[in-house]
This record gives sequence, structure tokens and C-alpha cells, in this order.
Amino acid sequence: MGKDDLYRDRIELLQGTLDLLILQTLAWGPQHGYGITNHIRVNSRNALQVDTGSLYPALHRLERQRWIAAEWTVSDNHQRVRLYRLTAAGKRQLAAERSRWERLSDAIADVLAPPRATET
Amino acid sequence: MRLAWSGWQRRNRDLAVEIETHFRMAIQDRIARGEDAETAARAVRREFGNRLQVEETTRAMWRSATFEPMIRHLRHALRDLRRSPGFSTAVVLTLAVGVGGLASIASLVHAVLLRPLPYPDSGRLFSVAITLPKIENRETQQSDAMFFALERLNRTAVDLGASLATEVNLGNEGTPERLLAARVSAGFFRVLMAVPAVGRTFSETEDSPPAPPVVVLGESLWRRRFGGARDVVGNTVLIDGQPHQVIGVMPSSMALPHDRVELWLPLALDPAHTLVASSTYDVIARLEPNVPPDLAQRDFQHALARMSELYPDAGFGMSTEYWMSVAGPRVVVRPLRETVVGDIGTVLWVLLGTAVFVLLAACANVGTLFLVRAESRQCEMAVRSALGASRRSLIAGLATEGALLGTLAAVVGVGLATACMWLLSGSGAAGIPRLGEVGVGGSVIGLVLVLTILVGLGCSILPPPRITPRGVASVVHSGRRVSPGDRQRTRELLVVAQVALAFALLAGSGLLARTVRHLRAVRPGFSVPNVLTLPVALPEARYSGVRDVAHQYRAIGERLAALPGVRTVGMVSKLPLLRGGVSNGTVLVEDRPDADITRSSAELVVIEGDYFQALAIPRLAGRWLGRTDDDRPSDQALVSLGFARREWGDSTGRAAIGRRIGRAPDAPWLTVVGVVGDIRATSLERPPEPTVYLPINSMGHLSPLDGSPAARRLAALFAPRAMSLVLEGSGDPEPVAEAARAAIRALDPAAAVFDFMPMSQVLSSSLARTSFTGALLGMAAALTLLLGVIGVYGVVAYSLRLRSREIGLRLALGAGPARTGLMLVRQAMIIMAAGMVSGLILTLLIGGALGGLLVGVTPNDPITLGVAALMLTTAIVASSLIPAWHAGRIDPRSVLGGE
Repeated sequence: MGKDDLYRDRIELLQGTLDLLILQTLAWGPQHGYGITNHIRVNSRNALQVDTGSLYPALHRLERQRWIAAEWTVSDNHQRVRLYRLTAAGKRQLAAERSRWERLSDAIADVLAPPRATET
Repeated sequence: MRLAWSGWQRRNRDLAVEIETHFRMAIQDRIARGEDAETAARAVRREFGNRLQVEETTRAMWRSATFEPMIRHLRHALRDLRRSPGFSTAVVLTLAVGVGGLASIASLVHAVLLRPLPYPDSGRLFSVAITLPKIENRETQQSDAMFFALERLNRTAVDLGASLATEVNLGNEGTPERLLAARVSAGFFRVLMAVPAVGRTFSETEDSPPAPPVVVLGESLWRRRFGGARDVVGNTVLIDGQPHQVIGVMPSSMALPHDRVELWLPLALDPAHTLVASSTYDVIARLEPNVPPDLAQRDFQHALARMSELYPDAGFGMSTEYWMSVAGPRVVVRPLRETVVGDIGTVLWVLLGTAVFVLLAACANVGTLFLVRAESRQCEMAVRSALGASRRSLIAGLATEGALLGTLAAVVGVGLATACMWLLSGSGAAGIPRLGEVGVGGSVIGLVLVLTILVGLGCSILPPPRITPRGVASVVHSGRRVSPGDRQRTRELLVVAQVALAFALLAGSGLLARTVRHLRAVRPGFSVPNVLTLPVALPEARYSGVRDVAHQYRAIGERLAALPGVRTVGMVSKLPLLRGGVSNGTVLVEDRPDADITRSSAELVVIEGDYFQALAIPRLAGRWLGRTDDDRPSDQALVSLGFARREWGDSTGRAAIGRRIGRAPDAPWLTVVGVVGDIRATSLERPPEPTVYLPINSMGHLSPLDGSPAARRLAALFAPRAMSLVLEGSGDPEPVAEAARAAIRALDPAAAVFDFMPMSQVLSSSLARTSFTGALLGMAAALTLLLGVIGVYGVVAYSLRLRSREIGLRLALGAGPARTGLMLVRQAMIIMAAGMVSGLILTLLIGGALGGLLVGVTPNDPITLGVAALMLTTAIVASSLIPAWHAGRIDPRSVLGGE
């Protein structure tokens, strides 16, 4: 496997979905920025690669909206890392975004599925 | 502000660390997967993209959408202003001076006139005075009988309190301290609801005769004498040689009956021994809630009318009813604050008006500065607009600049005002009351901030950038200004306003200067050079009667006359032009019993020694008081010419000689032996009052003192414990004063000798308030004149720049330098004429406000107005001469060749 294979077949993230992915990632537990990137990449089986240029603005924006909170800690390998965690408001936001996403993907699936006969 | 900035910096550092860590972890992961360090780093860097941009985008998330452009405008404005330091400094300083003056005067007005008195619910506090319209025009105090009548019979006041300002000697013999004190009734503190800082105030029992020796100290005295010890209550202090027990301490906010009173003693009026007709006590009242003053006035008047029920006998062989019918006493109820503030109000409102004028002139000047700046920035504005700046953002930028300058000016202005207030309260200027706690308050600072920012905003947007697409092209292309004409018109109008304001202020200060000159020129009737005054008070306890006191004063006089450098020594109970001592009283004239009481009120002054000779007051008829034996009461008196003229209708005074006058029906008659010249004893503004001069031992029948308040009062009247020495001599007064002090101490170690004052200083301090107002107005006028001159210079110099081509052309075609210069001077003259006409109208409109302060000159005095006009003309013509001179020296080749 070539060294760049890991990053092949990437999908551009849909506008607005990054917030959902970050919130969902943090729902599993506190994580730092790099950890979030890895988590999203691994769990999407390398399909989703979060760009740092989008990740940090998103993190800071979410922090300002008080959906996530951050604090400085020292990681396992003795590095100062900024650890993000989901707040109560963030959990509510995650639920809302999830249901919105589900409605959206259902709707898209409906559109993409072969048309059904309508009842007369 | 600094906090926000440091927070911002910390967040920036945090972000850098966060991204750095991310970077390192990504590299480490790649190395863990088997890449070599260098390849990993390169790959991550590529993946990462522009790190600075990542940081920048992230930072953008922190800012709010509304503040961000504001910060950008602010940064631009700061940079622009730093680039033109001359303009910024001029605007900030001009505005700061204008607004600082306003803030100072506004603080004064607030502290003195507007602030409520420092007592609970002070709106219900009123002073209750009396006028005797059938006897004299001025307001006087109440007698004890009136006070008791009002206190018992009124139905609208919660409480009434009476007070009597006095002076006492405090402390041990040898080093007594002379203090201003007050005797007050028990109700006095109740009326004010003044709570003592320590201890208590007088009880009803302590306020009834015989008054126990108790005292309430003022805070400053308490701190000075007792170091502010809280266990002071129960201590004993010597007051006039008698031990008094301290029962309480009043906080420094307690400043009644006047603001320099240092201790309070019980008044202990005796309802059984009252005088109906002697005006002695200041009375204050706390009205029931929601009682309007006019209702209280009617109620008190009604109570006063029933005084004869309580006290049917008025003394002097009169019934109270009879006295009421001839004197016609009326009650005057007015807010206590008015009484405390006195007549300073007019002065302060005039000064406030002045400050507003100066500020307006400053605003006009700042407006001009902004107009000029707008002209010179047209090109820049055009370029910015061509580069895509919206009109709105251009205006927002200018507004930010204006607001920024305004804020700076406010800060400097408040600083100036604080310094002014500090100087003013330190100087105790011109007897302004309630100056103690004056400071630049929050409301004034708020006013200043709002004002300056509004001015800054107004001036900066007033000349809006006129950018049209075509305009941009032409401006940028030619690099020249467009159509300056109407802006020049605006500038001219602003300068006209400045000239008008300068004229009004010059005229105002001129009028006050003339008032001061007039008062200085008033002949007071006495001479001041080489005269030293030295107040002395003998302790009450050591002298048993009038005879002793008279004897002691005579001894002091003899001792002082022997001092080197002293030629004449006299004594007087009340120095001319100073407050205190004996004043108005009733005099009986022989062969004219109380049937004509309306004509027998006079100033009563006790004298001793060569008082008239020391002050060079002339004797017009008769002789001086003869030397009498100390043991026999004197039966002589002198009267002023005014008194002789009023009583005996004789303007030479000769008819008065040999006539007899009396102080009381049961007192021996006094023979008038001489008539002396009139002097202005009350104030320079008031005409001399009819005066009777009594020798110190003229009331020998009153001794020995029986200690009753009535006898005490009469004794104070006829044998004053406090006299002022008047020494006339040659040379330096200071060593004479020291020698005199030592001589008096040698005779009575307990005598209190106060600070000496040359008579000339007594005279000048009586002019202090008018001089002070005049000086402030003069400063304001000078400032405004300066602003006006700068304004005219600016307009003319600018029009020279605008017209330099035309002028060059004229010169090239043969016009002389004088003619071209005249052209510019003419412009200045037109502005000046317009300014002066509007200034004249303004002066005549507001002259009435100044009227109350003027003596001997009317608000529309033609000489003053003429001088003001002349000064203004000179200054303005001079200011336009410089650009005019330059105009004649324009080199036609350089201005024409440039095209």
C-alpha cells in the first residue's frame, strides 16, 4: 500500500456536517483537535479527512457557542494539549443536528430511490 | 481595555501552541507508521496548508461581527491622527480647554447651587426670618419672643430651631484658640436630623436656663484637639475659661448656622425673660411633609400675630401690640439652601454662561479645523472610494476619528477641571459657600464625555466626503480640490460666531472690570494706608463687668500707643466692611419718644481711643469724646453726619451738638458731643448708614453682669469682649503686630489675639467676589479672543491659498502688493463686522443677566462696548495682516507656471 493510499478517495465534507461530526466525536469522550481528526478519519474508514483549516475555526466557533468546552491538560506522551468536551447545551445541539441530518439523508434517499407508485 | 488586550494576546499564544501540538502529533503518527522524519514533516506541512491562515481564520471566530469593523476603524483613526499630530493636538487642546472650563463651572454650580443640603429630607428645611417693613428694608433675625411664639403656636412645622453665631476662646490661658461657635436650641439638631458621629446632642433640660456647661464639638476641632479619639465624651475643655463637658461630636457635614462653626453650646433661651423687639436669632424649621412654604408662611405669620398673648410687654415702655403696629413684622420663609448659598447664585450662573460661550467658540474653532482637514483629504477620500470603500465606511471612519478626538479631549478636559477645582477649593475663593466638598462628579464627567463626543462626531461628519464617480476621477486625475467655495462660506460663518462670542465676553469682562474700578474709586470715608487691624477678645470669666472690660481695653490702648512705629491707637467693636460685632439697633432720641420709632434705627458702634484719628475719619462738628474717669459711666456719644441729618435735619452737623439720645428707656441719656463723617461700613456698594458711636464705658449701669441671657446680650452689645485694635503707624506692620500681641498677652495672658490684617486687605477682600468673577470672565474673554483671532487668521490664510492663482495673475497684470493685501484684509473686516454686530446684539440680549453684579455701570455702557470693539478690531486686523503681507509677495511665475 502506497503511503498516500490512506488519504485517497476522500469525500469533501458537506457544508454544516463538520459541526455534527465534531459534536458526535466528542459525545464519546473528551478529545483534542488531532484526536478528533483521527477519529473522524478512522471511523469513516479513511473516507473523511478533516482539513485543519476547517477544524480549528469550527472548534473555536463551537466553543464560542458554548456547545463544547476546552481546557488545557497534558497528554499521555507529555504534550500540552487542549482537550475539548461536550457541554450540556452541546448534547442538545447534537440531538437536534442528528435528527436534522437524518431527515435530510432520508429525504435524499427518497429522491434517489426509484419513484413509487402514488396512491390514487 | 488593557484587560481585553491581554486576554486577546493569551488566546493568540494558546492557539499557536494548540496548532503546534497538532502538527507534532501528526508527524509523530506518521513516523510511528514507518516514515522518516523529514518526509513526515513535509507531508504534514503540505496537508496543513498555510498555518498562518489557519490561525487567522480561527481568530476570526472569536470576534463578533459588529465590533470587528469598529476596531478596524479605530485602528485606522489612531494611525491617521498620529500622522497629523498638529491637527490632533489642536483639536484636543481647544476642545479640552472649552469643555474643561464648562466642567469646572458646572461642578461648582452643582456643588453649590444644585446639590441638596447634607441633611435627611432636606427639601423640608426652611429658614424663617423677619422683616420689619415699617422700620427698615432688610431682613433680620428673630427675637426670642418671636421664636417661642412661632414654636408654640405654629401648626405646619415638625420642629423649629434657633441659633446664635458667636465666638469663644478655647483652651488654657496663655494659648487660647479663638473659635467660631454657635449657641443653638435643642430643637436645632432635631430640625436638621443631624446625627452626631460620637455621643449625643443637647437635651431639652440642657437647653433651659441656667445652661449647664456642655459642648458638642465639630469634627475638625475634635480631630485637631483630641486626635479623633472616640472616648472624648465626658472629657472637659475650657471654653472662655470655664470647664465644659464634651457630650458629642458632629460630623464635618454639619455646617450650620454657617460653614466655619467649630463647636455648639446650648442656647438656653429663657421664656420668662424675653425681648420682643431685638433681632438676634437665626431660626430654621422642618415643615410637615407636603406643606408648601407659602402655607407655612401664612401659618407662621398667624402665630406671630398672637405673640402679644404670650408676651404682652415689648420693653422700652411699649406694649407688644403697639410695637407690632409700628414695626409691622412679616415672616419670610425660604428654603434653607437659599439661605446657605446666599447671593453667589448670580455669579455662578453668569460664569456658567461664560463657560458655555467659551465652549461654543472652541467648537467653532474645532469645526474650522475639521473643515480644513476635510479639504486636504479630498484626494485621499477619492482614492479610497475608488479602491472600493463604501461611502458608509468612509463616513464611519471619519466619525470614529471624531469620536476618538472627542474622548481624548474629554479626558484632558476632566483633568483640567479637576486641577481647577483643586486649586479653587484650596484658595477658598471669594467666599463661595459649600466649597469644602466640591469635586468633579460623575454626572459632570458624563456630561463632558457626551458633549465632547457629540462635538467630535458632529465636526467630523459635518463636512461629508463628497464623492461622486465623476468627482473621483477628476480629483484623482488632477490631484486638486473641488469646489471649496461653500465650505469656505461655512468656515466664515463659524468665525463670525467666534467673533460674536469674543465680543460678548470682552464686553462682559469689561463691565465687571469697570464695576471693580468704580468700587475701588468709591470713597469709603476712611483712609487705609499704614493701618493695621488686630482683633482681640478678652475672656468672659475674668472680668466682672463693663467697668473692668473698659479699664482693660484702655490699658491695652495705652500700652500699644507706646510701641515704636505706632502713632495712633483706636478700638472698634466692628471694623468697617467686615462682618460681626454690634450692628443695627434701636436708638431713642430725646424729645421724640417712641412716637416716631421708624426713624430711630441706627448702626451702633462701640469705640475707644483714637479710632477716628487712626482711620482719618473727619470730625465735622463739636469735639471728640472727652477722657472720662473709668469709674464713672460716660454720658457722651458721637453720631455720623447721616444720623444728624436724619434726626435733626441738619447737613452741617452743628444742630446735633448737645442733643441727647438713649439706648433704653431706663438707661441714662447720652449727650451728642460731636459729629463725624459718614463711612461705608457695611459694604462699598451700599451707601453709608446712620451711625451712633458709643464709648466703651457708656453703659456702666449694667454692671455687674447678673449672668442672665438678657444681661449677657446687653453686655455684649455695650461692652464687647471682642474689639478690633486699629493701629496707625509707619513702616512694616508685621513687627508692630508681633509687639502688640506680646504687649496684650503681658496684660492678660488669656486674651485671644487673632491674625492681624492691614486695613487695605480688609478693603480688597470686600471686593474679592467681584474681582474673582471679573478675573474669570477676563480669562474667558482672552481665550475666546485668541480663538477668534486664530479663526480669522485661518480663514484669510486659507483664502490666500485658494486664490493664489488669481492673486498671482493680478500681480502679474500690475496690481501692487498693497492692493492685493488689502483685498484679504477686507475679507477679515467683513467677517469682523458681521461678528461684531451679532456680538453686540448678543451682549444687549444677555446684559440683564450681568446686571445684578454691576455697580456704577449699566450693561449697555457705550464706553465698555466701544473699548471691546476697538480691542477686537485691532486683534483681528493684526491677525489678517500676516497673510495679506504674504499675498503681496507671491511670485506670479511660481503660481502660474505650475499649470
